[in-house]
Amino acid sequence: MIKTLAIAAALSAALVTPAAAQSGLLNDWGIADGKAAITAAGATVTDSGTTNGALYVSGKATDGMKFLAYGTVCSGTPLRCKGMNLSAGFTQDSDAQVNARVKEIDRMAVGARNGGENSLDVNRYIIFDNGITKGNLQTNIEVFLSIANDIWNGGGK
Amino acid sequence: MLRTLAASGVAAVALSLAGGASAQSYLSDWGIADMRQAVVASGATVTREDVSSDPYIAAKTANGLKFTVSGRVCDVATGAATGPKRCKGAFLQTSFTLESDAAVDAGVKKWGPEYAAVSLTNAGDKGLLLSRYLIFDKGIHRENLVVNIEVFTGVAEKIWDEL
Repeated sequence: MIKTLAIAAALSAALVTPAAAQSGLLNDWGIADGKAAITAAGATVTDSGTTNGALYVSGKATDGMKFLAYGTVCSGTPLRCKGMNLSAGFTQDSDAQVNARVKEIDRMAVGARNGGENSLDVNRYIIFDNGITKGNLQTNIEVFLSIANDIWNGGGK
Repeated sequence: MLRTLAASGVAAVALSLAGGASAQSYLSDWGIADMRQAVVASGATVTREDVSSDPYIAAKTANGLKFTVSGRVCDVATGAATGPKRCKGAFLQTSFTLESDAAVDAGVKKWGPEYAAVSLTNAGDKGLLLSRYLIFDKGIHRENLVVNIEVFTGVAEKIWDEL
């Protein structure tokens, strides 16, 4: 009888545990999810926290490139976000050079923008609504880091 | 003991069904039928399909915005020499013709920082290209795909309105 109850309790616990927690699915992300994904992508987390009601995790890729994962559409306590904007900024010599780089960069998986103050901003925006796997988030970060690093080194044309 | 086994059996069936539903709901790649379903679910109308090479769909939103979805990193089923292709990436794009190349550059500079979810580029010939690239590797939910299309067309229509 004790064994029966124990089995039943275990099954009950398994069934009430959120499916997302069991299978590595994310409908939104929290600070631990962001840090885990960045680490799994091979980068190092350098800082994390909350600013202006949004989560952020900053990181450094293995080649030294600094980047930021910034939360959008955030709510709840603790805070969780439906969107993640991955971005990196590279200072150029002039505003004209930023514009020239924006015009020549041809990498469909990222956006390249003139961020002002001679900054060439590169980003990739991830939507979590209705679910992506943790593995998919990791791949998104890996793709972003690879392309951003290429652009940082003058490529991406 | 019989009751214990019965309870285990019910739980096993429930867990099996949950796994099956998950497998159907998540896409780690896409074929033409998957994308057609998502485009229609986003409220748009499919106007053309092409599977002669990598899958391609042309569509129009309820407001008349034309856009396309084309496959990237596509292949036939493992072990098959031919057959329908499935893709690990999807490239959503639409473009607007402006009055000058300078106007396109100004548009990229204006809307680029405003809309992080899309990429804006000067496509040449006075064309302002808006795009969004989706990665399917390891799985996204079908409804997530629908939201991605909705966000893309929503941003594109906002910019279209401002032209």
